[in-house]
Amino acid sequence: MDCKTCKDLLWEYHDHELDSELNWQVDKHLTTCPDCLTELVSLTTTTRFLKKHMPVLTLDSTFVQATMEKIDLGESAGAFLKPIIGIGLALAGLILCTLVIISPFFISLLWLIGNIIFTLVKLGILVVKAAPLLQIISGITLSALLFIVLASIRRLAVRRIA
Amino acid sequence: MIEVVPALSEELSTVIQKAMTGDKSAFSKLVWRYKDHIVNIAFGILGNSQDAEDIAQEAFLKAFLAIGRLSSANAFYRWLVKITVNLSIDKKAANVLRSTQSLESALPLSSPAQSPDRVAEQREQRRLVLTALERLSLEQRTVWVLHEFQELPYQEIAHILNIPLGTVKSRISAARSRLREILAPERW
Repeated sequence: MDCKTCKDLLWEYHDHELDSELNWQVDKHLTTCPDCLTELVSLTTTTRFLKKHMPVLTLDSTFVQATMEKIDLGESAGAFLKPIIGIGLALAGLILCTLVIISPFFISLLWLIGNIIFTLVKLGILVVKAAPLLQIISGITLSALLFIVLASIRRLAVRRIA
Repeated sequence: MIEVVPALSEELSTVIQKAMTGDKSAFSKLVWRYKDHIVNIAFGILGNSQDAEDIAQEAFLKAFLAIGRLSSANAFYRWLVKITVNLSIDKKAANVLRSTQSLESALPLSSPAQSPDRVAEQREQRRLVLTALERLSLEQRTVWVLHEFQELPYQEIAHILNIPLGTVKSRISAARSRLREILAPERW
């Protein structure tokens, strides 16, 4: 092993993160290379200095008590807000659904999906026997998509509150 | 130095499972057990003891409200650390925007039993370490704290931060080299 490779691996060697083969190779190199050994000593000294002088915080029972009180408060606030948000989102969803269904955009979306399915049927990729079935499929697909979007928004909102 | 988190004992696993069902008394045991780990991770990233305490509280609150969604008791610590790291990073970013506090106010209080000279010396060394850490990038600092201070293995850090193992290694290596560079004139 050359010095460059050894130096590249020194931190991992120091952290015992090397596999046994590489560890053995670094060990072997260190016995014959004072430069790399000096580098290792320097790394170890820095790490030791940092570990020794990094301030360590210790919390007492007051912290646990304050945290549990905060949890009680957070829980009661969540219990109050969650149904309100749920109802609000459900109402918003209902209004949105109604708007989407009666708007020309919904019709054009249905037309687009219908066209795609029609083309697929024409090409023989999709076999559909009755035309009304296409409408039902389009309707169900769109409703499912809308439901997923609204459910995701609700989940995100609830998570944000939590 | 903070002790390394041991493998889950049967007793701890039971406590976590109880907390997962919404048992507050079980959760308070978890707060008691992990409070020092969590506050020190936050402190390492933020460099401010008061902010670290606030973040630790927020992390436990968030954990309690979402613990029901945890897949298994074994994942608890890693998940709690992840919450803490994310909250700390957000807080740090907000602090940078609002300009940071003075380092004196960031340092935890020393033990009153020590002599004034010793206290002053310790304070100076702590100030050196915190100043050096401030000069790392947030990514390097986070990885460094989790590895050096919490003694988490590279693989565990990669899981917690959701980054490749190679990125963890390069960030730790860069952080250490930078720290060595900064601290070298101070120590010798």
